[in-house]
Amino acid sequence: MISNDTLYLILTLLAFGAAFNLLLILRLNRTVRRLAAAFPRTMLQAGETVPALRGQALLGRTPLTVSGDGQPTALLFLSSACPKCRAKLPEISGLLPLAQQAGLTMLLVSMEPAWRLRRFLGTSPISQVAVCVRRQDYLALNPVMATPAYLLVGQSGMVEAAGIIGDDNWLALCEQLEAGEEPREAAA
Amino acid sequence: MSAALFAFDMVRYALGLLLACAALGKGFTLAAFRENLYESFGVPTAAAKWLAPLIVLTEAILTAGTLAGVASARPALAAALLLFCVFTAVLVHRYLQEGVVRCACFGEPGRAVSPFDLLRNLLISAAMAAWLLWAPASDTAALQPLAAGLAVLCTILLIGLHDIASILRAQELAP
Repeated sequence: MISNDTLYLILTLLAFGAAFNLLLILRLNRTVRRLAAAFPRTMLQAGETVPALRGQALLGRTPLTVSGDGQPTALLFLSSACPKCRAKLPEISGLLPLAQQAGLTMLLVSMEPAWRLRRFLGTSPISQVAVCVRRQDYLALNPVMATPAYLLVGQSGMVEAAGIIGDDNWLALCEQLEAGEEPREAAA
Repeated sequence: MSAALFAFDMVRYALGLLLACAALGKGFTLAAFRENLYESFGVPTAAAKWLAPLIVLTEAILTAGTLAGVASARPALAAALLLFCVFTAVLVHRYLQEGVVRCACFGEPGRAVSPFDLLRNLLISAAMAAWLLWAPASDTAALQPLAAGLAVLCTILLIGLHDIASILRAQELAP
């Protein structure tokens, strides 16, 4: 028969043991994240097929499906939790009419709650092209959750360029949009 | 010893440990905490220089008061509740307004505040209020090590709430 004192001692050891175990799990999680950061995965690469995107337009909450339907598309990934993304809003807003003229569909893809995305975008015209998608769908497009990032999808539904907004490919695209050229050439 | 008395002891220990972790976490990353006060909370640089160590010192004193005994825990937790409520209210306001707030509340300066961090602060505030409202005035002696062990577990759970949530969500996404 175990005495009460022994039982309390065992329970105490178990409680400390569980706490230590939890601490180890959290430490392990941090280590895994550090390791993952040391060997970063990349976004979808040029030539990969972009999965069909299903979501809801931020304005109007209408269902939306985007797939390789012959229309070149730039998928943009911005987050309200990323200060650099906020700084990119004016630049992207300025590109929207140019993209439209060039026949390039621009979409902001987000998995944030609509209220938060609305507040982030404010009165920016980007809210007209913002699409709210499920987390799983977002991660299929942007597995590393890179922001501010973009995917340039060609007419065939394949990735033609991917990277961080502001990189060489992006700047080339901007230059060509400003020059009124075809977006597909910019992505090549 | 009733279960309620035991639970109140455990809560007091957990709150004391949380305050200790908050003081230590901020103390070890004082420069980052000072910077966050300026960047995220709009405190002027000159004021942030003395406010940051003052908050750490206050939390250290409140830790000592909370863990020393039931009598000293009452004013200490009342002050801590006030501090937490003000801090959480500012944090929620900035979070809703700006979207990005860095806090270093428990020494995590590089990470932006998440809804789980806000939930953690609300839970801590609720525990403080519950203890102040219903805890008995007398000290209790039995089963202190067990209460302390469970308090350590609760403390780690609450501080790691954001990480635990992200681990669970990552599992959810696994194919």
